[in-house]
Amino acid sequence: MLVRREFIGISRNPSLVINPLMFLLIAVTIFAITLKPILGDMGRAAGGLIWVLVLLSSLTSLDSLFRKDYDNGTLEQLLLGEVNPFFLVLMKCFTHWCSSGLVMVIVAPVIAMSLGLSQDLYGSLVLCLLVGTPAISLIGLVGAALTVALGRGGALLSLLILPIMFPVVIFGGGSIDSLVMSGEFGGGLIWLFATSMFALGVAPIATLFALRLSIEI
Amino acid sequence: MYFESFEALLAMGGHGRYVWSAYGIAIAVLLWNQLVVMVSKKALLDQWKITSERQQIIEENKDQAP
Amino acid sequence: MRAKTWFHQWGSPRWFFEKAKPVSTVLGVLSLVFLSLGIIWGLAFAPEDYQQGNSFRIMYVHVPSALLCQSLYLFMGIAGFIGLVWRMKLTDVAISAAIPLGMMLTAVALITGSLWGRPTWGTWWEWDGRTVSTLVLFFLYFGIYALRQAIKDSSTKANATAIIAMVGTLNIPIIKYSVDWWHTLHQPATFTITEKPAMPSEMWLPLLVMVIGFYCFAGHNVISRMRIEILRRESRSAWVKSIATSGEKARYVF
Repeated sequence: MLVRREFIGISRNPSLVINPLMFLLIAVTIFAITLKPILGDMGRAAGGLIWVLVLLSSLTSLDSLFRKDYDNGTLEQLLLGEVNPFFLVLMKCFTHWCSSGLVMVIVAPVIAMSLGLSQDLYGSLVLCLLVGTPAISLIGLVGAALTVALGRGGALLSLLILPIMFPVVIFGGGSIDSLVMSGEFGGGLIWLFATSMFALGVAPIATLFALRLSIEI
Repeated sequence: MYFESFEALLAMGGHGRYVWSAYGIAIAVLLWNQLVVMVSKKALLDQWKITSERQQIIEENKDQAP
Repeated sequence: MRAKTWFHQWGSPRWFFEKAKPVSTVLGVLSLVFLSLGIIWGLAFAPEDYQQGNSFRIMYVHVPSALLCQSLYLFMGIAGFIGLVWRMKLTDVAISAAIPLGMMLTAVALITGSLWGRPTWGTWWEWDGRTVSTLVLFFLYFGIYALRQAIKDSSTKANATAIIAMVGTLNIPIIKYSVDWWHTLHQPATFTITEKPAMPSEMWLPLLVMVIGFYCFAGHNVISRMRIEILRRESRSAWVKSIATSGEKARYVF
């Protein structure tokens, strides 16, 4: 029921999904335009680049994750309601991921093509993003919860959260890089998965704590 | 001493500016933090002094006719 | 039962204020002794390295700074955890006391590492596991600092700091591992300090002295900052007021 509510909210305000996506596509385009002439084949750079851009695009949608609910008071009610707040947090994360990570995964082949990644790697790229983007949503959730009450805390959110997202980018970018070089993931996918799982264990609890704090501000 | 002369100590076989800059900045940071503590302590003591002097004046003037 | 009362004493700022004073003084004296000894020994008396020459002397300030900045962050993470679980106010005092020194030492580690790298291996900077995780550590310290600046309410500030400190502490080893893993893909020729042949004692003894000196200094500094912060936070309480009005005697309380 909660999930449906979230999706309804998104469908009323599609810019929440479209904006980060457009940001991603525009950023990819800028990189492709500026770097292709210099680097020729972008193959080696593509891996890290894709991940960095996915990360930064997700940031643009994180700030507003809890903001609307916070502003109109529903956040408090939801946390105090009969539904277990833990599930509330998980659902928020899931819907965020659906509107950012999942969308990016679907768009991935387009991105890969513009960055000159060879076609047989598309499937693996999709898998890699699929495994890693949940971690971005999870970790971002904690930051969003901490800064939701601080007004326009967007920059602070990035400042806090980006260092913690480094492993995702490193494992993710490294996986793609290894993929480009040798056709295999070189263990990176496992570590990416492990990072996502670890985030799944830690982030929701931390988010819940942070939300409770933010309500009191 | 490992070095034959004071000049040799400063020069460090060509690496002098790196070594001395490194030590300089490390020692500066340690001294700075010590300084911060000492200054904070003094500031607190001064603040207390002012407050208790003010209290004393209030006490002394309490008995006088308004 | 005694363990429990010991534990609960830590909840009392006044108890800490009084009990920590001798510890702080001792650590302060020790740090002065060890640091002076270590600096002179490392700079002037230790032999130079066969391969690196005299630039390796930077190790005597670089390694202690790097170790300490990580330890201080771990300290903050643990303090954050204790504060959230046992609701101990002293932990926030501890965290606020550790941030300045920790952040500065991280910067020192980065800068001295760079100064060491340039004459020895020709580069100002390399992106390997250790350098990246130290750089991230600096960002994490800064993040906590910025967060504290942004939140006005003290209890919210304390809890938010604790959460971020804990999450950050978990992050550091992960980052280090991830970058090291990346490098195994590429097998670059990066330098690894730990793979040198075993250091003779004339070289690592001064290092030990410096590490002890740095840690003693950190203990002295953090405890001193904590004690001052306690006096500020508890300024309305009777025991602080009586110190504040005790005139000349107040100086000796510190």
